[in-house]
Order: sequence, then C-alpha cells, then structure tokens
Amino acid sequence: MSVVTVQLGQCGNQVGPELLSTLCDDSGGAGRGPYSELSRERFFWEDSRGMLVARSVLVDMEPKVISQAVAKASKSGKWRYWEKAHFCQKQGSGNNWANGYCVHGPRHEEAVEDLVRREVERCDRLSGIFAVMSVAGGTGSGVGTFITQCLRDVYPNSFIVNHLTWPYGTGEVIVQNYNSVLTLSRLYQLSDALVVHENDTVHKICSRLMNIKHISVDDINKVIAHQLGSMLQPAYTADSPTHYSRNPIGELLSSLVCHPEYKLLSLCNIPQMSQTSLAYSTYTWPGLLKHLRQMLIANARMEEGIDWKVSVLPSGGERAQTRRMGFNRSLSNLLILRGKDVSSADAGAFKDPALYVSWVPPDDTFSSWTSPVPFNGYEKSATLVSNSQFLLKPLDNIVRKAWNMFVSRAYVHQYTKFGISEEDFLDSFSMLEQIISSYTHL
Amino acid sequence: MQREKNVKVREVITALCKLLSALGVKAVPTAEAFRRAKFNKTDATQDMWKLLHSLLMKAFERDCACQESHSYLDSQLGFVRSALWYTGYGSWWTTNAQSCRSTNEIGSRDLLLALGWVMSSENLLESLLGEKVLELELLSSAPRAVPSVEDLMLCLSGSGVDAAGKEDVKNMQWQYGKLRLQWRNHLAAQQEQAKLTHKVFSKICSSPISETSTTSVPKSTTSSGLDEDLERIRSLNEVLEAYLEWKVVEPLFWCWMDSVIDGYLSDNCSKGLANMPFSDHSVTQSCSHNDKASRSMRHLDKMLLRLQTEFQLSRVEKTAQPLTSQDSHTGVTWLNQEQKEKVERRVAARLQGLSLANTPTAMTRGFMPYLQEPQASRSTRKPQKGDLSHEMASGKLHVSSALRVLKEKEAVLLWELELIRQSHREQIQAQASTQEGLVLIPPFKR
Amino acid sequence: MTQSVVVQVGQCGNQVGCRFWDLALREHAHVNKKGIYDEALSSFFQNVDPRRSDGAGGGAPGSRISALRARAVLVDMEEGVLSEVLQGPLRQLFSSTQLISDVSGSGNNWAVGHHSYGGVYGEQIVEQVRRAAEHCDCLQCFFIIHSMGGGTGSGLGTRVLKLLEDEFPDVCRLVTAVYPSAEDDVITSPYNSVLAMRELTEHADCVLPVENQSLVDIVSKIQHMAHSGKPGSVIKKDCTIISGQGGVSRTEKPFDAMNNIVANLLLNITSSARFEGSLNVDLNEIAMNLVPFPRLHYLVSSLTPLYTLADVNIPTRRLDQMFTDAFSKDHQLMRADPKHSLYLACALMLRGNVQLSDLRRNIERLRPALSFVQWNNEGWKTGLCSVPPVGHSHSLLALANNTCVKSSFTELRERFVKIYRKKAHLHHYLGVDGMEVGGFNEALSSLSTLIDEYSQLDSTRTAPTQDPPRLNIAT
Repeated sequence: MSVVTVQLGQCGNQVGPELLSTLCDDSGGAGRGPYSELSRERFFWEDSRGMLVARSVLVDMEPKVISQAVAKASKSGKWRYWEKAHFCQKQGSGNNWANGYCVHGPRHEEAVEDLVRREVERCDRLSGIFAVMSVAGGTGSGVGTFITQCLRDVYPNSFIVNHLTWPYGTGEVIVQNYNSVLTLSRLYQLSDALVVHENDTVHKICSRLMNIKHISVDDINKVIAHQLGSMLQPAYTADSPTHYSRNPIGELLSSLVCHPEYKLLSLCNIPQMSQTSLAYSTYTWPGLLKHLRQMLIANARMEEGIDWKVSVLPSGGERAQTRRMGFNRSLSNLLILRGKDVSSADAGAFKDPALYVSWVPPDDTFSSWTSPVPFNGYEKSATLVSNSQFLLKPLDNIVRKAWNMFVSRAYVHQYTKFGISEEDFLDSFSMLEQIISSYTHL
Repeated sequence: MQREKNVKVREVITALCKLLSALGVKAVPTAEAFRRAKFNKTDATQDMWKLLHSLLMKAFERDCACQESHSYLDSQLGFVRSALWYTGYGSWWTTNAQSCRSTNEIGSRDLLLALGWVMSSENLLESLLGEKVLELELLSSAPRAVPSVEDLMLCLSGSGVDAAGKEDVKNMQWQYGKLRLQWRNHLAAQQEQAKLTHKVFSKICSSPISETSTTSVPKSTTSSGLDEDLERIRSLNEVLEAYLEWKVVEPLFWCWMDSVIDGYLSDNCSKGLANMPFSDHSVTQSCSHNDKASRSMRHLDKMLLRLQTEFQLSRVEKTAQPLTSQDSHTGVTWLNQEQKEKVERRVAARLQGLSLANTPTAMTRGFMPYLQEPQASRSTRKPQKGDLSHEMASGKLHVSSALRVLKEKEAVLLWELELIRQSHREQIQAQASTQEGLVLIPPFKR
Repeated sequence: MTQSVVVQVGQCGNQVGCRFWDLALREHAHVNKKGIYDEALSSFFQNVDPRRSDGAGGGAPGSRISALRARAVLVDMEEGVLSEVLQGPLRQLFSSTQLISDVSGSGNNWAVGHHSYGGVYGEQIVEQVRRAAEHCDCLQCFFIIHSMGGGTGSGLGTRVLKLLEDEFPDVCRLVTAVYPSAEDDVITSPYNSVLAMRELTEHADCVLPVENQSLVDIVSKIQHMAHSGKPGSVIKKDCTIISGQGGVSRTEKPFDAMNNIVANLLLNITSSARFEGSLNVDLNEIAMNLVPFPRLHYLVSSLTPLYTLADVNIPTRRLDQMFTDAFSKDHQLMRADPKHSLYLACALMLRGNVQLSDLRRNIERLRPALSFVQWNNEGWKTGLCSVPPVGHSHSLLALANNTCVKSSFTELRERFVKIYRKKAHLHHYLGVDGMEVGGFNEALSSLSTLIDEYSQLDSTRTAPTQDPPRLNIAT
C-alpha cells in the first residue's frame, strides 16, 4: 500500500520534502522492523543501489523551489527524488489563481498526469494520492486545483487527500483570500478530505512551544511535517488491531469524512517542544490526553493557553449558548497515540457522545490508532485528527475578507483577464457560505 | 470476388455469434443458419426462432413478468410477439395474432429481420455486455445485502418531520458515504490482488519449466478463491474480446442486413404489407403486455390539453376582471399559477421520464390512434396534422413519418415548456428582487 | 528562470539605465565569484561570443562567462549620452545595434518625441526589442525607464510603451518614470508630463514614479550625514546607494548619486526574481498584488536603509528601524506621505538576513499607524530574498499603492493648467504632425479622472467601516 505525494507550487515543494525527510528519519531508527518497512514502502521505493526514492511528483511553474527541494533531498544522503519526477516551467503563475487554473494547468495537464501515472504504476497498491499545496498563491492553488481535478478524472475511485496550507491572516499575498475561496470551493467537490494547517497557528506553535526566536519558513514546515507524519506513519487500527494497518488513507477517511458536506480536517498534537527541553520532560498518558481533550473542546490548537473553563455541553443544547461558551463540537475524531506504554492509555474521555453531533452514528464518532514505536524523537506523542468546528472561524475570516474585496470589485479584473468571471466568484462564495453554514449548525 | 465477400460475411456473423454466446445467449446457431435465413430457407427457421427467443428472454429477463420458461411454442410465440412489440417492431406476424398462429408460418427471414431490429434498437448488445461485466467483475461477487429502496423509504417516512427528519437524512448520508468509502477500499484491495496475481503469474510463466503448463498454474496454488477470480477474469476477457471483435466488423454486418432487407422487399413485400391490418383493436390488444409507454403518452397528452385550457381560462379570467382590486387580482392569478406550475411540473416529470425510459419504444412504435385528440384541438399544428391524417387515411403510415411527426411535436412541447419555465423564472426573480437581502443561491452540488 | 528587457529612453532614462547596469554587474560579481554564467545573471544579461556579431554563441546558463551583453535597447534622439556610453567603461555591454539615436533631439517637445520620432524610429526600436526578446528563454517583463519632463523620454518613451503593448501583450510593462521638480528649467515640462501620464495610465501595467526633488533631498541628507560626523553614523565609503565606486565606472558624475538611487530601486525590485529566497516574488506578482483597479497602478517606493550604518551583526532594533524608515516621509522616492494617506496595498520586499518572524513582528508593529482601504485591511505582499545588496546585510524596498500620489498629480495638473490657460507654447506642439488640441484636453481629463478615482477612495477613509452584508444561506 503506497501513497503518492504530489507537491504543488512553492509551498507544496517546501512542505513536501520536509514531510518526506521526517518520515524517512522516523522510520530509520534501529529495531523498528515492520514499522520501518511499512513506512518506507508507503512513501518510497528502492532504486538498484538500495537508495530510497520518494513516491513523489514535484510540480511548479518556476524552477527555483523544485531545484532546492531536489538538492535538499539528495544532500540528506538517505533518500532522494526520482530524477524524472518533477515538472517545472520558467514563469510562475504570479499569485493569480486564474492564471494557474485556466492557463498553466490545462497547458501542462498531460505532462503532469504522466508523471503521476508513472508513480502510481510503480505502486502495488495505491493507498491514495496526497497532494500538498497552499491555497494562497497562484501555482499551488490554481494549478493544484486543476491537477486535482484531472487526477479525480483519471482515478475516480482512488482516495485523494489534499493538504492545504492556509496563509497568514495578514501579508503573504494580497489576493490570497480570493485564491483561497476559488481553491476551496472547487477542492471541496473534488477531494475526499482537506487536511488544513493555518500558518498563523503553526507560527504560534513555533514561537510559544518550540521557543524559536527567528522563525523561518523551514521551522513552520517542520512543525507541519511533524503533525502530518504522525498521521501518516503506520499504526494499529480498529480494522487491524494486531498488525500495522496497510491502508492509512482509506481508514483515515472512513473514520472521519463520510459525509460529503463536511470534509475539513485539522490536526493538533501534543506534546510539541524544542529538542533541548524534550530531553528534560516526561509525560504521562492521562496527562497528555486530558490536555488534548481540553484542546479539542475549547478549540485550542496548542497546549498553551487552553481555556479550561470551557466544558462539554449536552448535544442539542441551545446553539447560541454553545458558541458563546466557545465549545467546539465535532463530527468525528481520530486519536493517534505513539510511544511507550501506549496500551495503557485510556481514551474513554473522547468517546463522550456529548462531544459529537447527534446524527453521526455513535460507533463512527471516535476511533483511535496506536503504535508502540515512539515518533520523531518523542517518547510519547498524541495526535488528534478532527472533523469539527476547529476551522470554522478561519474559514469564515477568509470568506469575509474575500467578500469585502469582491463587493468593491477590487482585483477582479486580474481574474476576468484569464477567464474567471464574476459568476464564478459568486458560485464559489455561495459554496463556501454553505460549508460555513453547515459547520456552524452542528 | 463474391466468394471473398461471402467469407467476409461469414466471419462477421461468426464474430456476432461468438459475442452472443459469450454474453450468455443460449442456442446461438452457426453462421450458415444466418445465411440460409437471408434466403428465407425454412430449415433455418427453427434455429433463428430459438436465437430470437433466447435473446429476447435474456434482454427482458428482468423486466418481464412472465418468467416461467416457455416450454410451449405457443407461449413462446406470445412472449416473442409482445417483446417485439415492446421494442417497437411491427411486422405482419407480430401485430396480428390471427394471421399467424404458430411459428411455422413465420419465415426465417422474418425472424432474421426481427433479430436485426432488436439488436439495432436499444443498444441491446451493450446493455447485455454491461450486465455481463457487472456479473463477472470481481467486486460484484461480494454479497449484496443492501437494504432495498422501500426499506429506506419506510425508514425515512417513519422518522417524522423537520429537525428529526433532517438529522436522519444526514445520518443516512453519513452511512452512505461510509459505504462508498469502504467500497473504494475493497476496490483498491482487489486491484492490489490482481496486480500481485499478475506478478506471480508472470513470474511463473517466464520460468522455462512451467511454460507449457500455464493453465495448471493457478490450480497448483491452494486458494480456490484465486481460481475463481482467475476464471472470472478469463471469461471477462473473453467477453470483452468478443465484443471488440464484433465492434470492428459491425458495419459490415449492417451492410449485410441491408441486403437482407432488400431481398425481403423485392421478394414479397406486397404480401407482407397486405397482410398488415392496422386496426385499433389489434394494436391495443397486443400491446397490453407492457403498456407503460403508451399510457404515459396518453397521460401526457391529456395533461397538456388540460394545461392549455387552464391557460386559456386564466387568460380569460385576467381579461374579465380588470377592475377588481389589485390584491384579489393577484390572488387569483397566483392560484392559477400555482396550479399551472403543478401541472407543468407533472408534465415535465412525465416528459423526462418518458424520454429517459421509453423514448425509443414510444417513438418506434410508430403511431397511436389517440394521438389525434389533442391535435384536433390545436389549430396551429394544422399542416402536420394534415400530414399525419393523410397518411393515416391512405393506410400507409410509415414508421419514419410518424417518428418525425412525434419528434416535431416533442420539440414543440419542450419549447413551450421552456417558455413557461422561463416566464416563471422571471417572475420569481422579479419577486425576489423586491425583497431586501434575499439572494438566490443555487443548490449545494455534490 | 525568466528574463527581462530594459528599454531606456532619453537622457535621463539612459543615465539611470547605465547606473543600473553598472550596479547590477557589481552585485552579480559579488555573489558570483566563479565567473560562471548562472541563472541569476541570465535574467538581465546575455552570454555572448564576442567574436560573433549576431549576439549568440556564448553558452547557456551553467557555462563560463565569455562576454556579457545587457538585455537592453538604448534610445536617445541626441548623440551626447549614447556616445558617452559607447566610449565609457560599459561599452562592452552593448552592441552598436542596441543603440538607436538621432542628432537633433526633441527640443523638450513631447509631440516631437511621440509623433515625429515615434513614427520614424518606432519600427526600428520594436525590431531591436524583438531581437532582444528572441534571445530570452522566457521573457517576463519590460523595464522602461524615462523622464516625464523632457521631449524624448516622455514622448518617445510612451510611444515605445504603446508599441510594446501591441507587440507583446502578455509581457508585463513596468515603467520607471522620473518626474520633474516644480522648479524645472524646462518650461514645457508640465505639458510633457501630463501628455505622457495619459499614456502611462492607459498602457503600463505598473508605474514607479520617482520625483527629482525627492532624489535631491535624499542625496543632500546623506551627504549632510556623512559630513556631520555624528558618532555612530559613519557612512560606509563603498555604500551602493550614493557611490559609484566598486562598479565598472570609476569617475563619479554629478547626477550619479541621484541616478544610483533609482538604479537601486530597480535592483531591489528584481532581486527576488533573480536570486533565491524563502518567499519569492516574481515580477508578475507585483502588478497582481498591488493593482486592484487597472488604472490605479502608480506605486510609491521607498528604499531603506539609505544611510544607516551597515554592520554585520545588527541588533534587532536596527532592523526594526529599517521598517519604520520605509514608511517615513523622508524615504519615499516621491514627495508624498503615505503614512497619512490611504493604502490600497503595500509590498515589502526584503533582502538579506531577515527572518519571517522579523517581518511579521514589524507588520504587526506598524500596522496600527497606517490606514488601509476598508476592503484590503491586510493588504500586504511580502518577499524574502536571501541575497543582500552589496555592502549591506539587509535591505527593504517598500512599494505602496497609496492615495498620496494624488498630491503630486494634483500639483502637476495645476502647473499644466497654469500654462495651458494662456495657451503658452501650444503652437510648438500643434505644429507637429499628428498632434491636436484634443490631445491636450484628453490628457488633462485622463489625469483628472485619475485624481478623482484616488480621491474617491480617500473619502472612504472617514466612512464608518462596516462589512458589507454577506450571502445568506437558507437553512
């Protein structure tokens, strides 16, 4: 069972190698037996000299980032990208989603499809396609959306999960909210699940938990890679309690995103800290899980600054009250525990039906995966993948800002130039308002 | 030259026979039987009859209420006749029960023509192929314990109203989504299995020792499930190959069929046509077996008539009450519009259903007497009506001309419907625009 | 990697352009010590075989530099400046075919430059540009440099702009326009500027207006600082900004300091497209992010540090000072105060040792003091390029689409109206074939409309900020 990663645009080609490095390093420890084998089979293949080669396709419209990624991988000495697995052009999409989606995407459709097909054919069994991209720029979002659409056509029955990096609330790309709205509305219909990381949240984790003074893009990507790695590495699941699950993406999806109207997944992770403090810290499972649960219900994305006053409200209670209290209701959650004594951890507190919306079958609301192998240097580590109201507020912000801009028709001419009309914008807006409304009324 | 052509034709027909038997049609005769049937040889009649019967059986297996095996030729005749009627084929021996009481009276060429008709209408071979593939596809071997639609409906209707109902819908959507995801999981698993099987297979094949014993290879493995899978894949391949082969030569077959028709027309068309009494009585009688399409058509016509009269009525009302107060006036028309809308919706639904399910049947059926009723009430359609009745009167109504008339009529109806819809849309938009803050949003796409 | 072609027109355009080539060479020489013709060099320079006249054969990126040739077309209607170039230290950068000149000049008459010379030389100029474009792998941008006050730069420069739009509609046109000061000795400069502005408004993708007066102010401030000898404010001798030292040219000419500033603006705006960085800003992203409405494409720029000490280890406070300076009135290349006007959008393009967190911290720090248009409250575009300018550890270029440009434009309009009312010198223009009175009125109304559009946006500043109603979903 293998996963083909498709790295799209600058962000995708920065997060991608970071993720693969994390996975490769984590599976490289001694005495990890099947864990290591399975992890490697999942994301890499071996060339004739025994070198690991990523099952990845790199796509960007300009060469700089891709050459950095390729160089970084081969410098690691542990793995590399296949020399024919990248596609790049000379000129970027200029932050313009329409340019990526309407011009660059269709122009290079075939070449990219070929690359993906080659990687897919290399897999004995395709567990899924994991597309990594941002929603803010032009290439990752525009070309990425178009490529996702093509892949959906070519592989109608395969799992396609998109990892999306949401931009900082302020200042990366000015038209980022337009690009985000156009991307999200389309991906929502194409992808099986959207796993989201917000730059703002990750930035906070870097500064408050990791104690990094000068946070670089690399630091941000490392945190993202850590959380994603924890989600994607082998684990025992309900379907295969005695050996490592061979179908990570399939099981992830069927435990979290069965309803087509609710596809937004967010990740949180505990503990997360700098390497130096890691050496001096010990944790107990009950302590970790208690924190993680409170993070879940209080809508906190990191363990610092959790509002402990928020408590679980009975399902069906007054909705307005729910919101005022800051309670975060879930559709479904997946808890992944990795490390020492993992069998002793009791996740019962996550099964409380009051955490969940009433119409999801009780058996489907919560699942947990475990692995006795410590992940990425952490003796114990718990990751929560949640389909809940976590992303409601950031999504609402994106749509609000984009709408404000759209009402004054600012920047719209840059999009109509490439064939995205005002109606297309309106369609996207109404689609996202629908999603917001769905999540609001949980 | 002639000889070469014959050989070619034989190959073509052989391809067809191969495909038919691969599709599971019983009693497929040899190519020779086809050739003989072309010249209306009586010794081919039996073969062709069996083929036609079993092909129709295969095609109507599901829809047909009479599933008992037709051991007796009589009941066979009845079935074949009604099935042909259903597909819109009208020859002397199908339309008139009296004229033909046993299969012996039918010539082998008649049967061949009917066979050609059946094959050309409704994409019969393709749908049979689809069924076959579904049957052989690995996944469909899984038990199908899906709750029937009725159960689900019951479940839905029993759950009451509003909020609770909404939640149930969501719950169902969730469950459905889960099923779909699981199905895809299985699919991926199957693909992996197939790929691995292929790997093992090709490994063994490539080693020189077992090269000769490829067929025994799967047997040497212990898994009987694997055997079955292999067998399925093999027969699936056979079917697909046969179909492909057939598709390549199909045009030639139809050329040949044309020559059959030519022969038929030049030989004894006069006899056939003369023996074709188009009486109302016989028509309705023989189509009683599966009458859905005709009933729908009749229904539709009635409804249209009603719609028109209601339309006129409302127009009259509007002009008659110009002095009534604004409120009551709009009230009246609004009611009418509601009714109109209802009727319109029903018409649309019917039309759609009709075009989806029955278009070829209804169209190829040729003509029906009661089509005249609505036509009579419509003055604008005079020329067409004239056409039709003229041909009717002469007793020589051709399928094609009736088809044309019907198609024209359908187009006109669709156009009118679109007009009505358009005006409604405009009304709704006009109303919506007067209401502050209301924005029309297209429904959520999935 | 993409390439750009520079078209420098008129005396001012060519002087600025040559400073740009000089500094660009120096910058690349600083980074690229091995003498390899790399991707970064290829963006503005072509590697040629000096023995061949067709400008080819020098090898693709990755091979050794044999001879560099600028991707440029130099146009002037007088011989002076161009013959100086041909005799100067930069002569090897250009082949004689890249230089197009006449002898008689435009006599500070826009109409002569635009219509007369445009008609005669237009085709030849486009042909040269086309040739330069053919040597590009992927042509992304035209940089057009000219002044607004004279005849050749403003007249012929804007004519070339229009021709390029027709010929290369997909290639971004970025104009650097040097505006005359109010005390300009050219009496017809308001005519020339307003007539040229109409062309810029209609045909350019982005305009970087630079005012002569601002350059004068900045240079004198730097010199004052250098001579005052305050402790801690020693100016580095080989600082790129004002010195011509270190480049190919040895002798410093009177306007060099001013022209250097503009050349640096161009260096920094292209740095992210040339060198690596963690947040790349491609040239086509500039217009995409900073131009919300097609006509409002005038970007006020500011460069920092202009005269700060460039240590190797900079305390954080220094870095923050750089951000603060970028928004101060003194550092703008126009005499305008963006801080007290309305921002439509703002780009911060950083070079050197600056981290994402520095950027974020400073945006958060400065944001409250700035007013942004209601629908673009967070209108920041940021870029991080890892290669600093020579002699600095970091630098910042801020580009602002700000309503403050309105004041300069209004002033210009007043000067125009003052002489236009008297019909002064009009006959010089109307005597030129193709020039009509209507042209003056249209140019004036184009400028007025532009000013109105900025004013209209300005007026939303005081309006209560309330979000427009969102789409409602019926549940």
